Amino acid sequence: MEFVALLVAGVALGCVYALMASGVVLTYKTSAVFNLGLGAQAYAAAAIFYTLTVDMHFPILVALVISVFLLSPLLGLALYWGLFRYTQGAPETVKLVVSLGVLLVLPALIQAVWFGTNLKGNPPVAVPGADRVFELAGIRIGGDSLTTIFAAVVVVVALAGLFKFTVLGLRMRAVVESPRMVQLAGINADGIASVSWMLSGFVAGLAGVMLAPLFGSVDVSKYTLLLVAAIAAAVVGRLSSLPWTLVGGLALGVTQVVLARYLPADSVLAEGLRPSLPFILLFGLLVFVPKYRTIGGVTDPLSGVDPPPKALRSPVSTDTHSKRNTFGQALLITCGLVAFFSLALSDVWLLRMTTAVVMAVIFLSYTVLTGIAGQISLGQAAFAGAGAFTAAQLANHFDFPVFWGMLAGAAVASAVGILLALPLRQLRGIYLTLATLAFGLMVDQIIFPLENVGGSPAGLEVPRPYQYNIFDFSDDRAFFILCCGVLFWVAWYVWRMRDGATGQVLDAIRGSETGAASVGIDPGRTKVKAFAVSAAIAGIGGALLVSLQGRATPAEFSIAESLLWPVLIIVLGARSIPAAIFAGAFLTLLPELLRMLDVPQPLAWVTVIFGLGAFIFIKNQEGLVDWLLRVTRQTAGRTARDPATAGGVPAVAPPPVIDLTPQPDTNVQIGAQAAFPTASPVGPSVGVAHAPPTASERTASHVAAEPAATVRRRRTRYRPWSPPRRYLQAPAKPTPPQLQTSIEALRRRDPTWQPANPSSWMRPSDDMNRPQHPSTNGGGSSDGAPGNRRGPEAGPN
Amino acid sequence: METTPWLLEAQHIQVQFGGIIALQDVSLEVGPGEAVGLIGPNGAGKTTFFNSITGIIAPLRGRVRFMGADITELDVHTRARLGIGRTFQRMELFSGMTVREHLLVALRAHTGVGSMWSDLLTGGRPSDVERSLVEDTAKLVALDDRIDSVVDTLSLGHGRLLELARALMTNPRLLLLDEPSSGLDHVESSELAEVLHAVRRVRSTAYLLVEHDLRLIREATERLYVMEQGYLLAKGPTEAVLSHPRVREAYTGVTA
Ligand SMILES: Nc1ncnc2c1ncn2[C@@H]1O[C@H](COP(=O)(O)OP(=O)(O)O)[C@@H](O)[C@H]1O
Ligand SMILES: [Mg+2]
Repeated sequence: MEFVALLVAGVALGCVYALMASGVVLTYKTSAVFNLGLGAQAYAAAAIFYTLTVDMHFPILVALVISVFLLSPLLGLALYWGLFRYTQGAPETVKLVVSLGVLLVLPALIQAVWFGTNLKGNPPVAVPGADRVFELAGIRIGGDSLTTIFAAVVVVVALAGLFKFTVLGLRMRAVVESPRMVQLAGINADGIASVSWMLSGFVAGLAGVMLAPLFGSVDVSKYTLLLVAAIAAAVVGRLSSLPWTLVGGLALGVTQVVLARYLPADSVLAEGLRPSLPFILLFGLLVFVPKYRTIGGVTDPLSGVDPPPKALRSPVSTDTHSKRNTFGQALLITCGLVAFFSLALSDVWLLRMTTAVVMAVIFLSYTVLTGIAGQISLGQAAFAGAGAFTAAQLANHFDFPVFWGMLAGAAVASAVGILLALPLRQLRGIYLTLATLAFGLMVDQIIFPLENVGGSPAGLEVPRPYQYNIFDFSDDRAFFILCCGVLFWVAWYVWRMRDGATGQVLDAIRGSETGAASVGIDPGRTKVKAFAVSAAIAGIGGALLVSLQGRATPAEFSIAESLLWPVLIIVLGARSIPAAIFAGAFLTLLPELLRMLDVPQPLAWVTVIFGLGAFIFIKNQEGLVDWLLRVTRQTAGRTARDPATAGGVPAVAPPPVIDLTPQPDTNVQIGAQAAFPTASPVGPSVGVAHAPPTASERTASHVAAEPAATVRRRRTRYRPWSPPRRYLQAPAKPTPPQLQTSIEALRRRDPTWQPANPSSWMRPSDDMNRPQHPSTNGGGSSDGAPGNRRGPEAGPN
Repeated sequence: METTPWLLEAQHIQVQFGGIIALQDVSLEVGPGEAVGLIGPNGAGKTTFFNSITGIIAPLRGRVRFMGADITELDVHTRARLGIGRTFQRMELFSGMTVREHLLVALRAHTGVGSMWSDLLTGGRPSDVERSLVEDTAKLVALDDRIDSVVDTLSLGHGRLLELARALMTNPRLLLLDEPSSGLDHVESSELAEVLHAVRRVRSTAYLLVEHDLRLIREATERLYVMEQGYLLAKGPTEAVLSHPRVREAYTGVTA
């Protein structure tokens, strides 16, 4: 009896997961964006709903309509048109960073603008009368559970039906296959993406509003957890199957609720295991079940003709001779700055400066892993924490000197890094990132709260390094100098690694893992090495940080840090060492600056600023710091090293064109035989005027040549699009308007120009190459299908 | 102890993608220093065959032996270190890196020079020997004038030549070349044939050449295998195979 009630609660939770997961699948399938920002969208809906009902006393139904049915889809639409539309065809990293930006900016913005806090208690239930309790055969079931289940099932089934049975769904599936192919076929891919972003916004909003009462609060961190649960469910559905996504969500929800009931309530295991079940599931699926990581990648059949996306690699300076001087200069400048700061700064600012320096060390760990090895880690705070708590525990329990404790911390962090990287090393791109996210949350939720790791929430005391009376860093100034020394050493190491053989090998793997393996490089081993080094650096940074503050608390190394840090450093320049130092400075000093300017909610605004930076990343993937350095260097007149202008060929006037075009009178003759039919209806063959080699290219040039106005006209004409049968029965089209336009355009440019006779191009053997108007293309003569190309030797002709 | 005269022996390879049988009982041998061709219409499974020899995909059935040893279970990079170099039909260049860096990385992967610690000491700069090896190889494939260009700016043909040069840096015993001449013009592709001849003469490297350009196949191979729809259709001396009516029909679509 009780079990059934439990089951219903679990199913309700699972339904919310499934809802959210279907939102993830929708955008992933239709625009190849793995939208981490969906968590923030859910939070936004919940916050709006809360404000409308509690603060503004709207009736619940009205608030529901406004927040879920109106604003949530609009938000999704705005995100697509404002951001993700511009990431089409961009590397996965860009999409990921932008969606991380959304995940950071939205909640912070809401908090800064009107919500005031990131957590509000007792949110109202979304449906009127849902707080009633039903009695069914002696089982008491909450009305809210029932409505949640009902709503979620209706929405998921409707979505699945939409995908399977409607024209729109057909187009959506087509967009997944190849956005450009679909666009070339005359379907508005933007329109389809808009619809799917609206739908995903809607389901996220619904999930957000329904989940708030289940959590008992409107709390940002809960929505990150929801997001991960949803991702786990979506991975069960291999990022494409909605029914399996539903199954995954339900299984997760039920297991979680059942575990919560039957595990001993007071053990840390129960407390940690229940909320972290989604991460464990996600991690396990990705790492241990190969089939879940190979399927679901979006491959565009046209992607083969594209140049590969640009790697995140700043232009290489080939001059090796200047490096030795750079080292000396850097050493000199650093010493000067350190001496200046340690003498000139007031005590408070010295502490802030030290924090900035320590943060720069942590950011250098990203330079290794993300900048050089090309892996985005969303669990870096876990490594920093590993270093910090190792040092802290050693100092607390074994009276271990902090100095050695820090090195031990680096070693432990490095070991954790290796342990994580070993199972992760076969994962690529987004999957590796998701696994690190799951790992980061797992550590955040289960490991750090353990007494033997993070101590109590109040934290562990950590002394300053003090050894043999000589190495006495308990003084703030001495500690500042120590931190600067560590930063300098780490930066030097990272710099040597980046520009040395190791960096080249990692670059090669990032360029092409297959290619690297084909010359004998072991990509897995190299990735593990990168994780080990990066984790060690983060560990040192973490240990320094807690020693600086004198206290190590788990909150300092939470998942929020793991999400904010990479956005900041990637935007500033993941490969650049100055960028890591700037990142440290920004992160520490910007909040102080805002505080001095009396800005309310300074921390939220800092997050907003950094998150907005992520959107710059769409346009500038070089990293802001490197870009700035390059631009200033250029304006300083040292342009020679810019690859775009380097080795510039002096502009010499080209020789005149050897023009063998037949004289106008011959042309007129041809034209006289059959004047170009501009008005009379002609078959699709007219398109021959563009005749480039392959069907898809031809269509591409058509579309590219069309002025916007005609494109729109054509779209409206074919709007009632349906599968092949009607497709084939399309009546002969009048002259395609775009052809007329291009003829007119040509005439305007050259009044003497005459279109030649199309039939003169058409040799009988060209038949299969006859250009077909997009709408009459599908399933036509099978011998014209582009897949049937033969080698150059093919055919006797 | 069984001995084999072959450098590479692929025995009864079977590969399936879902329901599609991409390779069906394909057996192929390459002798030491031998020049062998492999032709077949698109989709015949040539690239898939290369992938199963280099370990990118695991065959469902069949063994691959290299220098007498069974390498069927080895990793991609281990096979490469044993001396199987390859180029790719869809190029797998290290985007963002220069020609010089490509060759240097490949050379160091082969020689094992360059660890994280030696980076700290030397900064990973190439030694004189490394530099001259890199420059000589670039010259061999006529890329010496583009040696400091970033590969993303290279033309398709130059990219293929670079893949060949990169494979050569590891001093392979066997080269697998997947349509190396596509994207090359006529002059370049006869230069390619010369490079292949030179490599064979100087280093006695064997190669297995997948090509659509029958002229190059005639020029550069002694033995020829023909594939069709995943199975082996014919094998034998190049000229004999090419003139066989059944091969002509399968490959050119001409019933002659
Ligand atoms: N990764 C894959 N998944 C599914 N089918 C594949 C895959 N790779 C190749 N195929 C199929 O295997 C067959 C052989 O392809 P391929 O080896 O590329 O032929 P070739 O190189 O001779 O042109 C083709 O039908 C192709 O569609
Ligand atoms: Mg092929």
